[in-house]
Amino acid sequence: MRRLIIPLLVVALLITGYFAYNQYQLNQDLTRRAESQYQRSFHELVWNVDTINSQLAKTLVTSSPEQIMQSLTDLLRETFAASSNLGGIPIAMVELEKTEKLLNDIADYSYYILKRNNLDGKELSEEEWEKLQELYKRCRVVRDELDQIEAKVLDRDLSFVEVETVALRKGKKLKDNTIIEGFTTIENKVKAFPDLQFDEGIQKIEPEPQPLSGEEITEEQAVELARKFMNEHDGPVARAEVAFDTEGRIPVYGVAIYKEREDTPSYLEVTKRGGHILQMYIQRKIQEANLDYNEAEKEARKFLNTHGFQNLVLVETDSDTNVANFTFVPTQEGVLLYPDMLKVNVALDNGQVISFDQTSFLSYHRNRDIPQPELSEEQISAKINPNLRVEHIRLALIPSEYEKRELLTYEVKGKINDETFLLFIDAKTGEENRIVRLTKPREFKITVR
Amino acid sequence: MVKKNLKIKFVIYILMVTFLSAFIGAESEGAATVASSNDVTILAKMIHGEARGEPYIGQVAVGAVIMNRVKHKNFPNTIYGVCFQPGAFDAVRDGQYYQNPSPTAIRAARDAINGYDPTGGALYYWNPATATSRWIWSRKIITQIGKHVFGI
Repeated sequence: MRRLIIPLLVVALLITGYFAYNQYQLNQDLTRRAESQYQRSFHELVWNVDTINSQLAKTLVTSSPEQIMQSLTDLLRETFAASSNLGGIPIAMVELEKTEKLLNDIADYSYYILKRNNLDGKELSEEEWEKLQELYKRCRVVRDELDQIEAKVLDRDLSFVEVETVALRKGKKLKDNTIIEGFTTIENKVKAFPDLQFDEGIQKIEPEPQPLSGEEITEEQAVELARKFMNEHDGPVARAEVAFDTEGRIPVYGVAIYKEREDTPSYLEVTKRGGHILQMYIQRKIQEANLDYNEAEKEARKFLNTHGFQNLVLVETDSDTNVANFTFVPTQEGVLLYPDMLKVNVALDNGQVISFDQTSFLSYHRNRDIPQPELSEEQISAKINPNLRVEHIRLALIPSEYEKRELLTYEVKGKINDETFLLFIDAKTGEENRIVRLTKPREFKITVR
Repeated sequence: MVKKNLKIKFVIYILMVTFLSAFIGAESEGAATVASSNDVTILAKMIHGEARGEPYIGQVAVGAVIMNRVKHKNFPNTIYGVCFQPGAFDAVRDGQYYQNPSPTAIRAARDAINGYDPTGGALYYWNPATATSRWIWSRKIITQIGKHVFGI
């Protein structure tokens, strides 16, 4: 027996060795595959930025509107590719906010001039030339730095996989820190430039929320308001406490609410100013569905009416097996107020409202001076693409994507090829301002656990 | 030599446990299914992998950060683009992403896609106990929900 131990151990060792060697080979293989993806993203990025640089330079020397058009189109394509390739390199440990912003600024500005050119076919204005010159100067700095990194990556065979793995292990350092240092330098150099200011209408904006009504409240008041709200909505509250507070767009106290014999709390967000119930999240297991969407919608409306929201139109329904998500908008003088939407989720087992969000409503809802539409419904009907089978036309107020104002539009709902669309047509100019495709996304069954 | 033997035993033991737990896992897997689109599913898997132990509101918050990134210009424009950005989320690297999500995660994902955002606009979140990148702390913190800190 004793004589057998050594040979057995040797055999076992050989097996382990073989196993380890195989693993090592596999590991090397996978590492090289990941590395090749990263290398591709990196070299493509360098190429993209170089192209952006030369296209910007071209717009600065040419006076031909066609050439400008060509360059701007290339710029748009290359900036998107550059952003995508930048996102494909594993350098999440380096902050690149301003570098990314620079790429976006170039894309936005190109798109803006393209739109304008398309409308009136002019050459670049003095101001546009100056802006492009400024973008070019910044872009060249990025390109020059990237070129230096690329030269070293090629010369020293630097590995992005190594950068990625070392960053994840605390206390471990790279032998050659060129890649991280290089990208940090890029960001710092871009940061050193003052932020470029663009006129309104060039970049997409989010409308500023209005100040909330009411006084600042204390944590104790927030807890009391939350307790009262949930007592009425979800039955007796055993315990309530402030679990978090936010300093986001609308500062709130997050109140955790416990029912008797339950240790998973539901949450209410109570605004620090005015003590409005901003959002509600009830956490519970939802059983088999008993209600259909119509019954659920009634429950949602009942909830909203109880809390003082009136004149609501249901604009969107989304759902899964046992929860229905509704989006409502209020109306004023029959006009739908899209900026002021309200969201309500209804559990389809017993019809309880389990989530609620009035962030948009509180941010934007007010009594507005709505102008009379300059174009009539008949005039709009005559302009619509004849292939669209129109279901309804109604007035709707929507936020402008690029300017700090709201637009009065005709909302046209129609179908073409079994796809449903909403067109928003400016009630003043008759321009199609926005097209929204309503068709539900393709769904499939997935297993949950 | 004795050490090697122990190691082999250890390896075999680990292998057996892994195989067995895989089989047991497959057996006990519930057959419940829900209808879901690709973006809801991917977001739900991400939420499940990143914030499984968090309260429902904390799961919506993680989903909201991903949606805020999708809408923000400095990040990719799709849910897949944001989720699979190299190094962006631990769950993708350590494999926690690759599991069937819970019904709560699906519900949270759908809420986040529909615009629910308990954080009030956060673009980053991290776990103060395990965060690896230093610059993350330079973000402005706007809230802490469960064990995640949220920032812009």
